[in-house]
Amino acid sequence: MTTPPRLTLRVRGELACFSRPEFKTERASYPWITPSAARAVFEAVLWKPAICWEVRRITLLRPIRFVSFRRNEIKTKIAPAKAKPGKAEHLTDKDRAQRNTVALRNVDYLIEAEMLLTEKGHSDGEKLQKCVAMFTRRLERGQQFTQPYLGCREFAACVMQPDGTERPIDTRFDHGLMFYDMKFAPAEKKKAKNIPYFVDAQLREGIVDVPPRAEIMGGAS
Amino acid sequence: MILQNLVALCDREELLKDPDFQLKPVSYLVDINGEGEKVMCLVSGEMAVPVKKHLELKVPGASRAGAPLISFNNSAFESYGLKGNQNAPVGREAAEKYGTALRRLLDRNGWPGPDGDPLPRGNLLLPSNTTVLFWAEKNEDSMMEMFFGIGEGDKQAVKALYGSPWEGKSIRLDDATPFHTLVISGAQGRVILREAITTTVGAVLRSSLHHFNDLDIVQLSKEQTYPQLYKLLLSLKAPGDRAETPPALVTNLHRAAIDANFPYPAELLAMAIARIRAHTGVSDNRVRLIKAVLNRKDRKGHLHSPFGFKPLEKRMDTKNTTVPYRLGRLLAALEKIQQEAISAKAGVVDRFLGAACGTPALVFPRLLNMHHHHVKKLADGRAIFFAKLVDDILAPIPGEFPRTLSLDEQGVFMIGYHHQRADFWTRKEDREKDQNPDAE
Repeated sequence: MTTPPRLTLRVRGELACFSRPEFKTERASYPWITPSAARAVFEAVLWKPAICWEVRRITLLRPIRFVSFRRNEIKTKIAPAKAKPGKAEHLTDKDRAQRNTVALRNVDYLIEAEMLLTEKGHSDGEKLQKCVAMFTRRLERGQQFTQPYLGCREFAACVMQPDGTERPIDTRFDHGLMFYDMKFAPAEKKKAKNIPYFVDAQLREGIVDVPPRAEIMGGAS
Repeated sequence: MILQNLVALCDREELLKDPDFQLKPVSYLVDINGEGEKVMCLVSGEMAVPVKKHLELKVPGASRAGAPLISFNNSAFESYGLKGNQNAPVGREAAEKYGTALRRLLDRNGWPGPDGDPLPRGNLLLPSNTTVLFWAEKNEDSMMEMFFGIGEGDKQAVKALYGSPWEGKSIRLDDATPFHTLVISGAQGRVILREAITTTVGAVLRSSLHHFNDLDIVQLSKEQTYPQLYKLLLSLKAPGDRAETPPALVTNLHRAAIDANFPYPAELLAMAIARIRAHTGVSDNRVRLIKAVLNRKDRKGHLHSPFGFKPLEKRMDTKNTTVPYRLGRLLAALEKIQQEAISAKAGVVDRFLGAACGTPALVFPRLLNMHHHHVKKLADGRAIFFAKLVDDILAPIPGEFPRTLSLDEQGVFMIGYHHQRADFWTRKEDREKDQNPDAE
């Protein structure tokens, strides 16, 4: 069994907020990018139903700095039943709550992820190679399906190819549990819930090693 | 991470050991849908039944009954179709532990420890409903009391920082025990987490030392007090002003106090000067803040003035020849001359302090003209003393009076003014004592 291809990209931005679930109301960020957010950056560059990404390693290139600020945000959601053309009316000026955001400042990461075939890929090794080439090409050209972002959509990310000169920061930090990913309930099962999973996150000399999905979430996603 | 540290605190201080201290009956923390389905607890990592509601905390600013730290009280805060606390699953044991740890830290009446003796207080109250919670990862009561003392400007605590033994023990500035701080406020039905800082005991002690040094200035009153964070912030408000101190300012001042690398917020300088100029007077706390902001700003290399800057001392510095400092001293001298000559009701300072520090060129020539008349009224000895003093002060000032002074320079002016005034009040014996600190 050949090892799956491992690809690296570099992502950075001025602000980032990977909100911790327990403080999501106050938008307090984890100290570094979560595996799921890192996965999303890869998916923004290239994704097809045949492939999926699994993040393996995150390298921090800049020190962890926080900044906090307050914003007035809308506090309710439009109910799905109302979300129809002509019916979805929402008066936002009356609906504000002040929410604090504790964001990360000037983040810069190298992310390594493995590209794996899903069931829809039908174990087609050639297809995988084609996708790897596609990814490399797109990364080089700056092509993206959607704007990559760092935790929240308003914090747009700059994605590029690493050039080999990056150096990790020299920090060691034992964070404890960090959000790993959601196990989404299959669409057919109405009552099933989406379940979050957590992983022990440790920063060693600027590098976070992320365990494989099967180890944390067990079984097929 | 914060929650895990709180759980560790609960375990270390054995807060749940005595069954009498179970705050709420077990049925209060009901699982989310009563089905007992286990999910991964985000605090402990183990599969557990998640709680529906977290323990309420009585935090200033929140409603009387208290508010939980973790809550999703509006639909916009929920995601993935999860409702309420399903968005952040925490098992019952973890919820109880961290909640109890927070309650213990928030307590102001002496929370009983496992052996019945009250545990030291773990919170500091600041303006704008800001509560600072702190704890060290060590079971040492004296350490906690010391931190509380530092925040409150307690004499014993501050003296201990400078080397006196604290409760019979010497403190160690290199103590590497982890130290945690949480800054929280109550609002809108939940407790807002504003800052979470993890550092070491040694770092906090060293930074506190810098903090007190930066704020240290000679006082006019006989009683020597140490600065208290709450009072420092209060000094920036006009008497009777009910507006809230900006919460960010409160958090940043506290941060600067426990982290010497963090600059004092620049607004402190502007607000202090504005307050002084608005006829509210040159109070000790305002002058302390000005000195602290300027000295720390200079240490970081951010203070730039065409007149140069010499770090401000605790007392008057006769070797400080920067123009703004000398101008401040000059104003104090002219004020004293006027006071001794005629006891005018509207002193020169009341009317001219603001203008003198903002636009010296417009004000000082006139004041100097006036002062000749005052000096004539003084007895010979005093007249000579003051004439010499004014000459000495003016000596390093080249050419004309500056047309304007920047905010930083106005701060230096205020310090010069305060130093000179304090110097007039210093008795000869005390002055000699200062010059020979060993004799003290």
